[in-house]
Amino acid sequence: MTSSIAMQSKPSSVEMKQSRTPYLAAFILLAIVGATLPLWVTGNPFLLMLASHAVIAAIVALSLDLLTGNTGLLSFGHAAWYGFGAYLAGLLSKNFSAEMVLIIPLTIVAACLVAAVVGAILVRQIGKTFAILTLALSQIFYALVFVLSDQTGGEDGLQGIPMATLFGNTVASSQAWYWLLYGVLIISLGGALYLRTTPLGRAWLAIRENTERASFIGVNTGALKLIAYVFSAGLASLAGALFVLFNGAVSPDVLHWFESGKILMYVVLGGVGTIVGPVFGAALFTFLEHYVSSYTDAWLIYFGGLFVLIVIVAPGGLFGIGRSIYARFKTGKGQTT
Amino acid sequence: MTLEIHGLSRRFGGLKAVNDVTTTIADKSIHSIIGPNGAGKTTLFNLITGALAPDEGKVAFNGNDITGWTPERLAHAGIARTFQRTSIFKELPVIENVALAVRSRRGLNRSMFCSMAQEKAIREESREILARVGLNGKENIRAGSLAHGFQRALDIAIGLALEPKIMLMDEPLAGMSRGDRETVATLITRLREELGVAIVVVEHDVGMVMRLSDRITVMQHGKVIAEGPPSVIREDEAVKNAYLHGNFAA
Amino acid sequence: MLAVSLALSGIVLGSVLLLFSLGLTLIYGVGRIVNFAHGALFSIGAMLGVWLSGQGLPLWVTLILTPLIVGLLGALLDWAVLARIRDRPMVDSLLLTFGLALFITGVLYELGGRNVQIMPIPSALEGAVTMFGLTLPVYRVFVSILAIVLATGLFLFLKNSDWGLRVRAANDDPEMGACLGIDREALMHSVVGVGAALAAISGVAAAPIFTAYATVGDKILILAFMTVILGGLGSLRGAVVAAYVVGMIIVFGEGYFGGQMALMLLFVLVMAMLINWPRGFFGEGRTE
Repeated sequence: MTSSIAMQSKPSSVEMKQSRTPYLAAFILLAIVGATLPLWVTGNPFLLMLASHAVIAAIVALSLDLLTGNTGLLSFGHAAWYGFGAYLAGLLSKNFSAEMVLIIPLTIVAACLVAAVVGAILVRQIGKTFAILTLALSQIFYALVFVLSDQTGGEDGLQGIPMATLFGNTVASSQAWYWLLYGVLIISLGGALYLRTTPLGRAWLAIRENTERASFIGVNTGALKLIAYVFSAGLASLAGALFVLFNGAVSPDVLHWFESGKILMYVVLGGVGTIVGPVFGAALFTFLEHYVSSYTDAWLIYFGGLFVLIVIVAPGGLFGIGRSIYARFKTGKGQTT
Repeated sequence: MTLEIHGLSRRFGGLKAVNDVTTTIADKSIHSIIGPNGAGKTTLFNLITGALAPDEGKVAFNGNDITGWTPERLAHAGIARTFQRTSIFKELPVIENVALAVRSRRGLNRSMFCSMAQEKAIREESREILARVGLNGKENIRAGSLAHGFQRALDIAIGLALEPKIMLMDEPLAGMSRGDRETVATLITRLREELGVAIVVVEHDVGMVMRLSDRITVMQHGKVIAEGPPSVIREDEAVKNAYLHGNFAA
Repeated sequence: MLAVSLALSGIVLGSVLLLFSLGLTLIYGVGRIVNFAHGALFSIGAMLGVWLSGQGLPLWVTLILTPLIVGLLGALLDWAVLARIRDRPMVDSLLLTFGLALFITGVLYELGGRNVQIMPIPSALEGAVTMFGLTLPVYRVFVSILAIVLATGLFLFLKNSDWGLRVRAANDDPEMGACLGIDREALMHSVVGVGAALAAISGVAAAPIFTAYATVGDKILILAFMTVILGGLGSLRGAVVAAYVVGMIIVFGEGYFGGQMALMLLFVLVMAMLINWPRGFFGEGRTE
């Protein structure tokens, strides 16, 4: 039964060790720096606010990588779901209740339902058509804000959102907000990393690697892509909901294609499919954007230029660079005699 | 187990690529489909495996009509295939390639939970399947870095992990060195003997086909021109003509 | 009467979309690149046109100079940027052109593109003519005719010239194109150049109607994306029909329901279309 046949080919010597060390190191570093941040920036409330925005950006980045990194589907309009969450949660808190425990789950469920309907058509498209349609979808949501300007405030944005409460307690202090956002990020990150280890997560990778082969081993590629799309939209809408409650207002800019570009940039900068990378990418980019745009008006030029440069020079993103340096360092050490 | 093909036809524009093909693949047999270039072998193959929909005719598996089933449904019904251009998950480790198929067979594709014990059993099973095709010791190599012959073996291993009743192989010997051909041919024979898998082979290498097959279907211009055991096919006048006039790539 | 004047506007918008989408389709057909920066090229055309005519150049010179300059810029961009990722996965080309769109928009912002710029209509094309009891603005008729003439010229050139033969061969099958001894690099530079020139001339010709600013091309890009999907990705004749269909839907939608509703209507239509006819009007689009 266990007899084997030797192939008359050269044996391959490339061992594939699933090295978890860089992942783990990055994860722990992120966790510690992030969790203790409010303690060492007490004198600088602005920095804490910027960090909070970075955490929200990280959640959106994670949501996009859940789709792109897992299934290979590239969304150029992910701001659609971020903006959907922001507007819906904003409207709910103005007209219904300021209780996060109520409105956030409602927002996520609504986003997932809409994403399931739209996604059912979208995921049937391959590559380029999918990319085009996602960009169009975000423009449609953008247009919707103006169609419904009686409710959404149109160009002026949605203003005057009441202070959010959590189990009846008003969340007001910036420290409390930061830790709340950070907690959501860590839970989402843990969830995304866990999904990678499950059969579902592995089947997703199979789709990303070779969709045709995946379907011939019995993977229902359409259904699995849809699951990824819905998860991704749900998480993005959560980020949007948190944003609007934290920020107290939202403008149509969150649905603009520049915003989708930014979300894509977080993921590309960090490294597509690395889960942890996009989180770092988002944080780095948020700070970068703030400091560069305080020096120059021409921020978009630097942003676009960096985008182009990264795609050409470092398609693996920061995480890819980090990993290859780590690998070189390791082999280098092994070779020194 | 039998796979019955009834009056299968498929047109491309005005051309009948497959024209009223009827044949039966018997249980545990090695059944080859040969013919000159453009005879319609690959189209027939794609019609059976659900990659193409037929214009007419039907395919039945154990009495069930499986015409037009999606690839994933066929996979779960016990029909596996390999690809002419080796199709594997290149960036994943060798063992994960097979484990994916094992999980799929166990209906775990949408599962968001898998116990350690279950995962261990899956890896153990994958290891056994890899050993069967001669890939033991290479479990943790990136699949894409395997040598060409090993990649072909991995492609077969992925198919085997589905525990198929029938396995369709699209030119399993194409583009391989003489030594590797011999190895894959031996592997095919052994799979039938040890696992009782029926194997359908579409192949150019007529010499190898004559040695391997229990039964051969010869196609030309989309039609079946002869069918029978190798001894009969070897003597068949129509086949000899096809050899003489056709461009049999041997 | 409203319906008739809307129909004319539909033809104008359709003609602009036609020129724009043909460039998009050519670049896609030969390079398999969906050019997200195409809208930015339209904006460059519009703003450059306004600037050139501001320098006192007559309209016809502007209409020639603008596509020439932007066409060269397109070829340059292909040579300097797009060529870097030729053999990379498809995803990279999408990301790259998307980054380029951001970059170009940023540059246009710095060149005064934050404000709307008006391009005057030359006096010869001002006013309206009355035909069959209809009042037709002369410039809009001129734009439509210009677009139709240019599109026809492009089709004839594709059909009869050596360049056209190579473009069609590469469009049908990039690998076969390579077998025919086609210098893919040079061909791709020229195709991106021509595509950029088409985007620019549609931008400058439409500038007196749509005005000019850094993001004027955004909406056109979305409409053109809907156009190429309706027509089938990579299908030239599909794009011709779809451009006018989209033009009509948008103009009538705007006329009867308001601007943003029209866009949503179009999107729903495209999604519905994709369920049954993913390959577009002529069933010859690519799904990849």
